Amino acid sequence: MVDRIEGQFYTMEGIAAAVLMVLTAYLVLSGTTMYTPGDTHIIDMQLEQVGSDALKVMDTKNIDSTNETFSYLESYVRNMTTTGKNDFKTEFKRIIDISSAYPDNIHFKADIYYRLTNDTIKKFDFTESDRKFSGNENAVRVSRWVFVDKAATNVPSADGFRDNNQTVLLEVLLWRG
Amino acid sequence: MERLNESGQWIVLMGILVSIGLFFLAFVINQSALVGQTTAEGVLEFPKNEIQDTRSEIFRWVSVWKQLQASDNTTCLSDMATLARYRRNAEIWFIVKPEVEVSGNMYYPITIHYNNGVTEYDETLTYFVSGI
Repeated sequence: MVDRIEGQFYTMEGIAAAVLMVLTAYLVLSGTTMYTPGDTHIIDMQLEQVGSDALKVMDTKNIDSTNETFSYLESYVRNMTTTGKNDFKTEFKRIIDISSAYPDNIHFKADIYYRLTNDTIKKFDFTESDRKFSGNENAVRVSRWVFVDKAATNVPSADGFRDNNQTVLLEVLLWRG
Repeated sequence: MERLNESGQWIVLMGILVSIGLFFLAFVINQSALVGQTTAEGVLEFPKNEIQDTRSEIFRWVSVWKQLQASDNTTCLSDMATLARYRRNAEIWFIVKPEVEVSGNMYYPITIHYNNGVTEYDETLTYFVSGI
């Protein structure tokens, strides 16, 4: 039997280096796989911020105009059964596309929730982008209070929409697809 | 005792240092994904936009106060409290007190309460409405 015991430190170092490299490779690989769930949160956050900002922009009154009573968003909502649908759809699409160089693939569905006199909630299907919501998309929800004055006439009065000053909730589902 | 060959130990030592350095760099990459996730989760969970929106809507009501009847106060509160409970999973309460004069201007004292079970927000402020 050959009995040479030289170079044992080199062997131990080789083993130590191998363990370190395997651990390093494991850390790198596990880091990459963890990025996927993190990714959806980051995208959701970005989408939610884009939607909220778009609604906020539309609900800001032009301070240079002294006779402007309603913001764009309030005008659309107080005409929700007539011209408001398409005006909102066009303007909302325009604003969420501003941040990208070419039209983004964001789609949306907007509903209006209002309170009836008996304290129950009713939904009004406001508008929808060209691609319909199927229910399977990973959508985020943004919403905004909208003030509707009592002079508004293009509202679903037959469905119990009150005729006094009130606040309704405009809710928008946003998804990419 | 075996005979040790002690030449080239610096090279071996540097090899170990470099591998330890790589180990820590990989650890940093590993953590960066986690940081992106928790940051996004924190932003999604905190209802910043809802609180700002609620404040601005209350101010909207107060700014048209002079055209409204007193009963509109409770109407607005009922609308927002009911809708927030059903659609935003949050409790909203606020009260607008009669205007007070501060340094020649009229201000409305407003108290706002917001709670969605995770985030609680309370604010008391005086809101200035021009042209009263």
